Amino acid sequence: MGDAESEGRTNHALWLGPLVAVFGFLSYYTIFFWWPITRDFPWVNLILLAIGVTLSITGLRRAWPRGGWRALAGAVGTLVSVTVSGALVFYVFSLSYGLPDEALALGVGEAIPVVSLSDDTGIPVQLAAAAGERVILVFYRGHW
Amino acid sequence: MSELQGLQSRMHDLRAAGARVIAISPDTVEQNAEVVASLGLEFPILSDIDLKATDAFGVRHDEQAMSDNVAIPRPATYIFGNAGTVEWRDLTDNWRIRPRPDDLIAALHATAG
Repeated sequence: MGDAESEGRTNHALWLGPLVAVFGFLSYYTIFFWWPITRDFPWVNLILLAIGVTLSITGLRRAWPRGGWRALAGAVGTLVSVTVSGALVFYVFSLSYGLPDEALALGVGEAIPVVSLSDDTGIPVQLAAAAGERVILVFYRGHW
Repeated sequence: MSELQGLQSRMHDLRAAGARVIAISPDTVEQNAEVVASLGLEFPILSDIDLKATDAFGVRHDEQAMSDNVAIPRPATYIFGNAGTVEWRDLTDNWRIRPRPDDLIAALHATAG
């Protein structure tokens, strides 16, 4: 009685929920990782995941009473949404903090090691600053 | 990658603050040349393929070994001058988060003279 589907409306939330959640997960690594403003705190992705989970649960609640494949799809969709949300939250708020002890690294006041490395044209470069110049040295993790 | 692009985008301001940028990666000279060309970088990327600089600075990140088991450095940024001692560093406590160019410009001013 007055039920969405008996009135001929489709339960869009059922498939839209997991779709938004999966996009909310993947887009962090493919899109929003590129700008510090959306990378350092992943607010865009958290919003997308929240929408995805909410839609999934809404779809599941609509489909559940009648059972059948829609109920199953709703359960699977909700599971997918919750799993990808948990995975991103774990990556952002736990896993990415896994770095070695800072005490191992060269500290302020210590001497810059005498090292010579090849630049991108193969010419050896010494880690040294000219008089009146300062060097910003950036260790980055390469192409992986 | 966006970290290097961010630095490139503020090259003018970094130079105005008296600084030169040097990046160090665990990649080969050829891989670094590709990155420099594709991003149009006006600063060099040095190849630390055997991690001698990474180890000399104590910034090796073993736990994050790549699929081919090559260790990489943790993200780390150092500022030094002609005296050859570390004036400022940022080791970040989270590998997703790197200092932004504005942070570096502020650090250059804070440690100047």
